[in-house]
Amino acid sequence: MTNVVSVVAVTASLLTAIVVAQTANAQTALTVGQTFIANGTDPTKGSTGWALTSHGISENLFTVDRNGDLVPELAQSAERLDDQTWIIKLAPSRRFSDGSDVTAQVLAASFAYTMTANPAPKGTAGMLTFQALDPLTLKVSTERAIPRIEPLFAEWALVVYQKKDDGSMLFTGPYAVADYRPDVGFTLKPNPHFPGAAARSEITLRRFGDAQTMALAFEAGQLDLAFGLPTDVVARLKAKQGVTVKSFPVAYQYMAWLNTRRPMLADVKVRKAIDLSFDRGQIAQALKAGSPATGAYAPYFAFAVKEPRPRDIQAARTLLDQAGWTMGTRGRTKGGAPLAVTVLAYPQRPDLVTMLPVIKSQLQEIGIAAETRVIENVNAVAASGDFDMLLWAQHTAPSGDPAFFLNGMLRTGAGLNYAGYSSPAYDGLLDAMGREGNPKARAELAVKAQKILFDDAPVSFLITPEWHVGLSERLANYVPWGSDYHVLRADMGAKR
Amino acid sequence: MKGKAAILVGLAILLSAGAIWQPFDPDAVDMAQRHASLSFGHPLGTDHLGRDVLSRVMVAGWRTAAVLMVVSAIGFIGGTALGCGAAIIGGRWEVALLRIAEIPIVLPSLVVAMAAAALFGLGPVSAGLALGLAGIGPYALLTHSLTLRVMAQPYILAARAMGVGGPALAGRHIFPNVAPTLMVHVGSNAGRTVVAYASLAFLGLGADTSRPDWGAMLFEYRIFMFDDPALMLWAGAPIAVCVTVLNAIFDPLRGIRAPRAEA
Amino acid sequence: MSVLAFLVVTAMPADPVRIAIYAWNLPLNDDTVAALRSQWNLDRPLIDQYIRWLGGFVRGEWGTSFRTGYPVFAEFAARLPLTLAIGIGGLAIGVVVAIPLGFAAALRPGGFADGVSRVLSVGMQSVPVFCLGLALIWLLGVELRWIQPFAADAEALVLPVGLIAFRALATLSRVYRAELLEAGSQPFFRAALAKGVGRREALWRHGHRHALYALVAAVRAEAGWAIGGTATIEILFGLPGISQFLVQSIAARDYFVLQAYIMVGAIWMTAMNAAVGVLTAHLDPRIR
Repeated sequence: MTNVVSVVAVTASLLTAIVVAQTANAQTALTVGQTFIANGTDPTKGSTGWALTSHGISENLFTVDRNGDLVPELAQSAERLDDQTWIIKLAPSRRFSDGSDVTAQVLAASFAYTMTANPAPKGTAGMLTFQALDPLTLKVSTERAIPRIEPLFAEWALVVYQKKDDGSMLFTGPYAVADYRPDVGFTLKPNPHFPGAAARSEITLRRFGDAQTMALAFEAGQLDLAFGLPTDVVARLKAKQGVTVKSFPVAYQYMAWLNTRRPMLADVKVRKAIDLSFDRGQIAQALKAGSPATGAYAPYFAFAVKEPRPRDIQAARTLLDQAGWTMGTRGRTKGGAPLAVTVLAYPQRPDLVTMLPVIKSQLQEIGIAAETRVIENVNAVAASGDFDMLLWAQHTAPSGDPAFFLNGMLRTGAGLNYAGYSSPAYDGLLDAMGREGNPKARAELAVKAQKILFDDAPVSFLITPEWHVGLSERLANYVPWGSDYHVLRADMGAKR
Repeated sequence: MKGKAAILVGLAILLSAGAIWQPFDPDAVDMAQRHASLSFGHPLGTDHLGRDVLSRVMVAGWRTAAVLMVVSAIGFIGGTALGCGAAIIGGRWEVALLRIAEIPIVLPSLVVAMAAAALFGLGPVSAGLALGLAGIGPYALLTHSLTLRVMAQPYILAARAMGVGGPALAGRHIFPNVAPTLMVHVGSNAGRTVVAYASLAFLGLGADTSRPDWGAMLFEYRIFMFDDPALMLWAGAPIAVCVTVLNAIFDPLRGIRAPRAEA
Repeated sequence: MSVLAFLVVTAMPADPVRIAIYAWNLPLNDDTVAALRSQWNLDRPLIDQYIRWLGGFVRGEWGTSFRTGYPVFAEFAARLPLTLAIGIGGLAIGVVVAIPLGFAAALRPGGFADGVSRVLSVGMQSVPVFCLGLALIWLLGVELRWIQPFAADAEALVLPVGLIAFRALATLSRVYRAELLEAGSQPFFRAALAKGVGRREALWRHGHRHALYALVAAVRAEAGWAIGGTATIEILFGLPGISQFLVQSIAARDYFVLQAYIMVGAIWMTAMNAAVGVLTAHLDPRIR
């Protein structure tokens, strides 16, 4: 019996330890739930830079504000010396969270490191080199000519940080990392060197493995802010007392990468057929929010294609017939091999998981057998190219400009060219865009580039989504911006 | 006993029906028919994508039955081979075989199944193989002790003295004596197997999410707990009914006092 | 067992070097591949690999997670306390309650306590815990608001621990009751009754020790479930324990995590076997 007692005692003490550890700052902190959180604090890894900015931890030289306009953040201005050289003036008296100054010397060193560690920032202008002229002046040289440098420094891969000798990272945003546990979340404290720190509240950022669990936690009153609620709960929660649910259009696009390196998908006829088989209206219905995508950008952008994407089952079937895939009783085959693809999605974007069965059903209509899977490590899978079809959510105009997406994700050999796409005609249009400074002419070039993508179908644009955020009474006045690039902001809730 | 056999056959027919025929294509999406309530066309209604729930439940039933068959076959055949073999061969091999049989007792079978799912993907066959292999140990130990008891019988000693050896001895004399007891033990774990497979499917483990399984359907439909709770009922009730029936036929507590692997 | 865990990484269908290169954003060239292969000893004979791996494992070098980029040992160290707390906590509560419930059930077979224990036993065996958990979240967490199942503090652990406890209780109380009743049919028990000792006291004095022995042996089986079977509970309640970690790692082909999980599972079971062995030796009615 004494054994049993000791087991109980050990358990009790373990439980107590956990309670003490977890309630230490649960009194006044805001609790925020998300399905996507930064994977560590190294901004040069994958898309961590974006996530850190979204958490209010890091900042860029330039950024996109609530209205989608490009504004200076840590920079003051940018000036063009020649086609490939720029001078950036930094804003004075900005500090890292340890109180040290943000200087051109620090930025030159950390940006140079970013360029070697992460392929993403090379997309827009190729390799960048940096030189500090004085503490507040940074000279930047680009490999390719670009018309404006501000959008480049608003890209998430070029966040501002300082790498300490011990490997830890310092940032400049309104919140600093007090504690990070992978898959669990962040404890954030106000950055004392960011203006208005005294009025800012601590934040517990909790990571949820799936949106359903987060919705249940929000419904049970555990979260002040639940970002990215699944649509299925929205109608009910909107009718509920004491919580607010806001739905908002975003500049994200849901798309499907069609891997052109796969033998079956190397045939443009098969890719076209797949694109023609999608009933975007039905997908939007399944998501209960959002609208059919017309191209690479949300329709309100000047550089978006305005006409709806066509759906034509008959034409799709004809294309597959022409490609030599003959219809049998159990789907299409060529030389005995079935026409079968695996479609992947990732749980951090629950809408994509919801879309899987709909897409499977639509592919089956034209005789393509689809297997669907949910993966956790989407960035690694995308980079490895080990997939047939990959559903993807992408902010396609993060700096209010079309170049980032078209260059970074579809140019021949680009760092994030997951579909393995290569087209000289398309690359030529992008080169022309690099030389063109007039927004109207750039928009026309962007539309032309999208039309080439429609013909070659290395990617199929599916949905312009609408997202939902759940708010407690304390954060009822929170206004979501049109993306998840700035979820936690300096103007969050006041301290309690 | 006859009644129980009839129930078992009935259950088998019910589960297997999904392999041959379903009223609708279980994957066909129909947005006009979302969350349809029970009707003649859709006896269990439709889900959030307008898919026919009955068709999905039926396919899932067949997949569960496949797991049950694989697990039982492996437990029965593997257990007999290992246990009888060890007892008949004797000596150092006997010790070695019994050591192997003890491995799964050291490792929870669900952990083994999750590992297998990680390596080979989760499907009825891979899950059945993993759960079956992980559960083989106790059967082998049981068969071994039963075989030793049978081998001590005078008629076996007589047969051995007459030169009946190895396989013939095992097939003609030992197997018929050992099989019924082992079969009951295999059966007593059937309910646990259904729960284990449902758990694996609930976890997902990177499996094909669009293939219907009772556990996976529960995971998918749990968000409709408030708006359409019937969906969870249709996914959960078959598990409960299936396990209850299996447990009523075979006594699941039988194995508890003897060593057994846990699901 | 360690051989099995070791082979997991060797037998995997995808090349871990390739996964690591993409997961960690390393340049894909022959140098990187060669460097990783030699770092993981993949260029050595299998036996040599195994010995080095085991040595590293004992020293706490469990490799680096592909997905999170952190050392696997640190990841487990951060998550294991939670898994152990709900596992051991649930088992302990189950054992402590199983004794009085089983005793009451044996005292009056067919009575109220026996009915409760029987219903519990049939129920817990027929309904998977995650089904029950879903129903409880809905009823207690959302409809009645008695419990906050997703709180940031210990309240979140009430339902998970409760579910594990109920499951253990269901089996253990039946085992304990059955052993008590068996003792109750023995001649020495009837002799004690004849001497005028009450049924309750006779059962406790002559049956308890015997039944406790069987109960402890049955705990071992439940313990196996407490580490793998609770994965559904961790997923359902969003608890960041090692099983949730494993499930997410599997979807990312993070094989070092799987390897470590198998080892932790084996160590846990070995420890439980040892503990049960010591306890049963201590309790064995034949020894005294």
